Formats: sequence, C-alpha cells, structure tokens
Amino acid sequence: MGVKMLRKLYVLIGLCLPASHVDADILNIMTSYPQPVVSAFQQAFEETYPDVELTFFWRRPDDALNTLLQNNAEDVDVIWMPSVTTFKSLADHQLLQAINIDLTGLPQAIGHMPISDPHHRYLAFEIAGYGIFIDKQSLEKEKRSIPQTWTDLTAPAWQGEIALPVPSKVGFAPMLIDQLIQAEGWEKGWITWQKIAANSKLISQNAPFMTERVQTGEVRAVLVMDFFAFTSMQQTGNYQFIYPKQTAFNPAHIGITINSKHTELAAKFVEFMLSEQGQAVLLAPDVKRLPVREALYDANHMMVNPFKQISTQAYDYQLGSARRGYISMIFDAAISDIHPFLVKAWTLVNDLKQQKLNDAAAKQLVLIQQQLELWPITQADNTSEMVKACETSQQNTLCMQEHHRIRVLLETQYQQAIQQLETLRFESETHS
Amino acid sequence: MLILLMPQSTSWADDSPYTENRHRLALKQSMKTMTADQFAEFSQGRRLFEQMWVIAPSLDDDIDGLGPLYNSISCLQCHPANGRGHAPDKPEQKLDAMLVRLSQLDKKGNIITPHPVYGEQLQDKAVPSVKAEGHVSMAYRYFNVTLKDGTAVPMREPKVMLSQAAYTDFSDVLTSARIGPALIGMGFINAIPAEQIIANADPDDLNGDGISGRVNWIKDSMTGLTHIGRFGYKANVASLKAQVVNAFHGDLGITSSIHPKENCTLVQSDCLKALSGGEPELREAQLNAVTVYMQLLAIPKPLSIDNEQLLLGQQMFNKSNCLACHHAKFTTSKETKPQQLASTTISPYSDFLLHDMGEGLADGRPDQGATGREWRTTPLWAIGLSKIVNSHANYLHDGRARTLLEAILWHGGEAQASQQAVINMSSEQREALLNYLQRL
Repeated sequence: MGVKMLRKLYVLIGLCLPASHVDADILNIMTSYPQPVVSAFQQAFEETYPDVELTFFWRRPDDALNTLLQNNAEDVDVIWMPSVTTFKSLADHQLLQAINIDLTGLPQAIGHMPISDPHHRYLAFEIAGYGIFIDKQSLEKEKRSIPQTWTDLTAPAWQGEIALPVPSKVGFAPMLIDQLIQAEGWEKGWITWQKIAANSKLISQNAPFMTERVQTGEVRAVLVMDFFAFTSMQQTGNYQFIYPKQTAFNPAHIGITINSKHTELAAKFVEFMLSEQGQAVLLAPDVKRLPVREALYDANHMMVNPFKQISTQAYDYQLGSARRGYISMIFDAAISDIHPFLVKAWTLVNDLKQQKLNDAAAKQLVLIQQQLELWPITQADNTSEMVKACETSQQNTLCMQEHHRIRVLLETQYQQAIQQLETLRFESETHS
Repeated sequence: MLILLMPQSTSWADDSPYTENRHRLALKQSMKTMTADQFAEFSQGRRLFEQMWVIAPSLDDDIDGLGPLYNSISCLQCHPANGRGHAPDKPEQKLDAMLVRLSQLDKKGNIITPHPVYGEQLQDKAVPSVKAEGHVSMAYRYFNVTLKDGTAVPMREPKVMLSQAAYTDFSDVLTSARIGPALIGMGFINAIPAEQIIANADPDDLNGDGISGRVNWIKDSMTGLTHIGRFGYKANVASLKAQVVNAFHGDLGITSSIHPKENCTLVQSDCLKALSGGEPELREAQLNAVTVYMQLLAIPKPLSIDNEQLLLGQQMFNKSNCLACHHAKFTTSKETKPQQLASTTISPYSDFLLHDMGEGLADGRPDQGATGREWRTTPLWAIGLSKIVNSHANYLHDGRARTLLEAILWHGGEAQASQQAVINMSSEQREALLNYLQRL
C-alpha cells in the first residue's frame, strides 16, 4: 500500500475514534505556575483520567484576579496558583465556592500559621519556604561555617558574597523581607536587612535564575525560595539549601470558581491534586515543591518536613500582603538607593574592629555602631494613607515623598557615620 | 593487544562554548564567556522561551497574544528542558510536545501546501472565542525486526488520526507529525559557511556511494535571494531567526515583524476576529533576546572514547558509513556574531542536507523543496543526553522510535546499506555502537 493511500486510511480511521476521546470533558484551569509544573500535573492527571482534557490559561496573579473580577470570559473552572492575596480577594468577592472533599491528612496550619481558608473556598496545595542557597563545597573547603540564621549573614566574612533580591523588582522578595521584620520586630528586622545588604549584591531581575549566581561562583549565597534552589540543584552535592531556624512559608492554593460549569469535575481535579498520588508529583525533579500532605514526608525521610522541623512564627499574611508596596518602598529608600554607603560604613566598622584601638577609640566605635543601628522610621499602620498609597503605586506622590524623606534621612545618617569612621581610622593609623 | 586510547577531540579550553554537565539541565546551560550585556539579553530570552503566553487582553501586555489558534502555550512545552519532544504512546494520550503539518491533495492529485483551510499545521488548541481546528491522536502498528544474531527489536509504526474537524472535513489531507527537536548548537549551525555544507552535497551521487545528499535552497520571499535551508526536519528554514519566528507564529500564534498577521486562514472568521496582543505581539527586542538565548546556549561536551568497547563502537560507526551523512566536523565563519560563535570547530554529526530515507520514514508530503521521502540529516550531538534531559524523549521526526536502535532500523533509502550493516552486526558490535552514540 502506498504512503498516500495509507495516509488517507489513517484519516478515515481517525473519523472512528473511541467515544471517550470525542466526548472528552474539558476543564479550564487558570494558573501562574511555570510550564514544567503544569506539564507534570497535566500528564499525571490525564493518565489517571483520560476522559478529561485540561486546558490551561496562564496569567500572573494580578492579571488573573483582574480578569476574573471583570468578566469570566475564559470560563475558568479552577484557579491554581501561589498567590494568597489573589485567593483572598476572590473569596471576598464571593467568586469561589466551598470545596467538598475529604480533607483527612491535610494540615490546616503550619506552625501557628493557617494555610487554608477556614471555609474551604481555597485549599493549600503546596508550600514554599524562604531560605539560603549556598555553595556548600567552597564554604567547607575554606572551613567556613554554614549559616543557620538570617543574622549569620551579617558576619563580615560574607562581605560581597551574597545575592539579595530587591523587593520592588523581584516578586517573591517582599515576603522574604517582611517575614524577618515580623519575626524580629520593626526596628531590629530592618537593621538586620541593612547589615545583610551591606554584605550583598542587590539583584533586580530574573528571580528563577538567581541560584545560577551561586553555581557560577559570582556569590556564595543567595536568598531565595526553596523550589528555585531544589529545581536547579543537581546530584553533585556541591550546593545546599538551608531553611534558617526562623523563616516563613508561603502556601499556594487551589480553588473552584463560583461560576464553574463543571463543578464535579473540578472537585475531582482538586481531589487528585491533594491526593497522595497528586502530591507525589510535587517531588518530580522539575517541580520540587513541598507537599501539604504529611504522608509524603513520612515516606521521604530525606525531606525537611516544615510542618514539624522548622520554627515558624506566625506570619501575618493580611499585614504582609497589605504592605508589600510599603515594604518595597522602604527597602529602596533605606537600602537600594544608599547601598554604597551601607557597604562602606559596615566595611569600615568591621575593619576597625579588627584593629587594636585605644579605649577612647573603641568607645567611639561602639557609639558610631549604635548610631548606625538606630532605625529612624516609624512603622506606618496598615490602614494608613501611606501604606495604601504605596500599595497603589510606587509612583504615587505620597509614597514618593516618603521615599525621598527616608532616603535623605538614612543617607545623612550613614554619611555622618562614614565621616566619623574615616576620622577614627585615620587617628588609629596615625597613632599606631 | 595494544590499544591506543584517544580522546575524541582536542582539549577544551575554559572559554570553550561547551558544558561538561551531563544532568537533566545540561541543555539549558549558558556559555561561560558572556558579557554582562549578553547575559542580560540571554536571561530575557530564556524568560520568554520559558514563558507561558497569555491570551489577550492582559495587564501583562509584553507576554499576551497567545493564539487565536495554537499548539502549545510556551516554547518549553515542545522542547522540555531544551530537549526533544515526544509522541503520545496511545490514542487517548494528548499531543503535548509535537504537532502535525498539513497539506491537501486536490482532485487532480496535486498537493497543496499549506492546506487552504487549516494552514501549515493543525492547531488543536484555541482561545475561548475561537474553535480549535481539530483533534489529533496517534496509534501504532507494532512489529519486530529480527537482527542477524536473532535479536528481535520491537518497532512501532505511527498512524496520525485526525478528528473533530472544525472548519472543513479532513478528507484528502496529507499529514506529517513532528516532535519538537532538541535545541543544541543552534547558533553554530547558523554560522556554518554555506560552502562547507555545499561541499558535502552530491545530488547525483557522482561518487557512487549510494548517498546523494542535496541542499534545500530556500527562497526569501522578501529579498528574492536563495539561502541554504539548515533548520527543521526538512531543512526548510534558512536562519535561526526565521526558525524562531516561525515557531512563535505557527506553534504559539504569536505575531512578529516577519509574520505580522495572526495565523488564521481566510475561512476562519472567528480566528480573524479574535483580539490581538499587539502589532506585533513579539517585539523586536524580544525576538532578538530569544535568538541570543538560542545562540549562547552551551553545547554539551562530547565524552572521551576511552576504552576498547567505545573504540569498537567508533569503528562500527565509521565502517557502517554513518559519517557519510552524520558529518562530524565544520568550522564556523570567522565573521560570525556574536564572537563566541566565530571560528569554532564543531561536531554536530549532520551534513544539513536532504536525503531520501526510504518509504518507511516517508511522510508523502513535499515541503519547500524537500520531497515526501527526504529528510534533513538529524544532528546527533548530545543525543546521549536525550533520556537524561527528558525521560519521555523519542527519536526521529515523529517520535516513533523509543530507542536509538529502533531509530537506526527505520533508516532506509540512501541509508539502507548503513541500516543493513547494523542488522548484520554481532551483539557486541551493536552494543559498542550504541554506547559510542551516547558519547557524541
């Protein structure tokens, strides 16, 4: 039989496809997960349910929320993404329905932190934690200690060896910054960030590729979310991701829209995603996210179980999500804009600490350091006009005015300190 | 017996365009020699390559414009981890890393390409206001090929099955299924001087070796000039940039300066009415970034041939005349930009020429100068990484081959003698050959 004849025959065969295929149910899912994650779950689900065809609409969380609030033109049945604020807003707008599936084996909180909606309109699907991705091999080679806390990164040995994401530019960074501020308190938290920043290169782009800065040797540590590290790590054992003793975890959620035309099918999908079979897909090499189903941790003893092994002070999502813009503005004003001053001042402090200073000079150094560790910015209330203004836009006039005020304040504080430190260094060198 | 253990190639400098990584991300590594500006553009290109595109309108107007008709939502979908795609194993499995090219056979027996109603390829997905063109599934006829030593090799012959025709029925449609190819050394292929490719052509088989590779000359519709086709399974695309915009347009439905109109045919009125994501949707800077990304991906370094078995495998490769088409050495042009691609000796193991591969592999669908029996020699570099990068990876244009041996046994036409040589090998020789291929 000739090839052309064969081809015609194949087309004819195609007209007699199994009914299951022709009648496949279609479920529309809106997501912001990357392709490898979507592909892994699509494949796993469709293998289990070959009669169901999944269609994915990709949108970033803000865009997804905007689309769903305006008009559900895409007939979305399921929302599946890491964005607490999107789900909360959808629930507030009565756009999600309660999910009626068996939740046995699915924790409702991590530490003191609730991870799912108490009314079950959105359920935690996976969690991602903040931590430090390090070049373990090179640190061990030089007998350097492995950082165990965020504060460990303020040590002088880390000078120039850290990559720190800028929250106004890198999507996951506002919560990274805020979790420490919430844990340590407003003043102490910001001072810790200033000191870490003084040791860091500030990174303004390409969040998914930040771990490469460690793997290429540009820096030895990068502050990042766990899955970025896990998906980029190979089996060489040269690198390690560390959850600091106190950190925060960000749950991703899944929910069913109130207008879904395929509610039963959507529930079946959610059930699959939260089942042991679905949760196991999270462990695939290109996915590597932390399951919410604890049984997965029991079966994989190598994995850190954040539900049991990590200390998490309750992170206030409501507070954090309301002030993402405000935190980002302060970071820019008090850290990014004056970064060279931070580096210079703390380098001088650390250098002077290594020198043999006389009593007066040593006292002077302590005073200057105390001056640098003063945080002059009062925390604005979450309902304040300032927080709202910065949440609207960093270009909002009120937000920009505050940005300018903080920058001038901190710049002056640091310039004065640098002047004093340089004088101290000069005197110290002259007398030695 | 004294065996001389030779490295496969000369030593590699630190600034070479190669990566020594052999892990699942090996095809995603960047060259180490990038400037800061290049790294910024490379990173932007990678982001766009991995981006799942958005249906217009969107708040993110730099990444919207998916469809109206499309096959995949991202480049990465068909090239997972920059590796090769795969074919579904069963009719009920969806196509997620392959597509089907279309032509129409008219009543007089003429072949019309692209298909007048469906266009160049069947897009089985569409934005909500538009009908997807149809459904594709794959079925297989399974059989064994018995080698001379008695080994039975499982084979499968694919059948493309079209259904759910949205615009006109699929009678008299010619199909050609294609999996996404691995993205290795694309910038280097683009930089091979034309004369080096032409030098290997022997369209009339003047040397009498039974192999008659020929250049697929592609006419640029804008300039009228002809260029050597060097990309695509039929060598029907002349430049890397053209390959990028064609894929964005055909596979994702993303317009560009070169394809400014949406991928709708005139009869697809719903498609024509759909919202656009911009004019064009892929901006020039974005196109350049994706091209730079392709150019500056590192090539996996070949592994050394350092034991008797591998030397035997190399010997079998040469003796079976595989090198006649899977050509081992080219040197890129010294004028090539960026500089990292210039004056570099590469081993793609392809001559980038068209060869008659016999009836078994023929798709019966002529494609821009290539006949229905002709295929471009597939580069073999880093083929040993296929299953490491993507465990589902398949071989040959339509992913029918699940193993390298299966792929070899599909070789016919000009490659018939090489195929027969492999059939006649002892199991030891065959194992050695297959292990050698893993190290290219």
